[in-house]
Amino acid sequence: MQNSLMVRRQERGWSQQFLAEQLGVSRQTVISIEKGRFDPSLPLAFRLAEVFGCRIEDLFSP
Amino acid sequence: MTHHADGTTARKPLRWGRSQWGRTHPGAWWHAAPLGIVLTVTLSIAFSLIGFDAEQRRLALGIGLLCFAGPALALAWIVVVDRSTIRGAVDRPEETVENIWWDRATQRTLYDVVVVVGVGAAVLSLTGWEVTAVTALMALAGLIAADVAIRYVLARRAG
Repeated sequence: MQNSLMVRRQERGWSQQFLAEQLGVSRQTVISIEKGRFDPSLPLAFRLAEVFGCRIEDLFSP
Repeated sequence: MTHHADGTTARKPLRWGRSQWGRTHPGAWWHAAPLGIVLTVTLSIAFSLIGFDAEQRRLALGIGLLCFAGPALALAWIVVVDRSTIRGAVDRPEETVENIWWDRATQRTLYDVVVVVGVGAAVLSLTGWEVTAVTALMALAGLIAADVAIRYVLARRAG
């Protein structure tokens, strides 16, 4: 699944570690999601959308 | 320990975390070490008393202490520690990619073990080799530990 996580994170000037702490997951998890290697669980996807202030479908595309 | 205006206290995270026992919540090892030592000694005495005669008892006790110390201390730490106070611990480990790697590794290990046990049983029955249950179980335990470790590394590399 493709996503715009890295672009949105960099737009805000956030580090991967900062985003990971906001989400309550490891930095490696953020790295894997950004690379498209790991599809997050639904609760994590909702938190991502909340952190970025957008909808899940704005972040992820099949 | 930080005191907030609302009366709550935030405990400063430590490398090994804090104990969930007691009012002051000291470092986890303050409670885990004594508990682990008591557990080690108890298990070692039981080990030396079961199946060893008086001449071998001291040696058995020493071997027991060496073998049980690590697992008993680790077990005590797991029981005692408040994981939210471990420095760097994430709030939701079940949602991390590491958890996915672990699930993948253990799942594939199960398949490996089924194959190895099946092939092993076939080989032993066809060749007539006799292996004691202790040897077979120890080999199986070692195989599972090694297989999970290898499978985890492979899952991590695959992403």
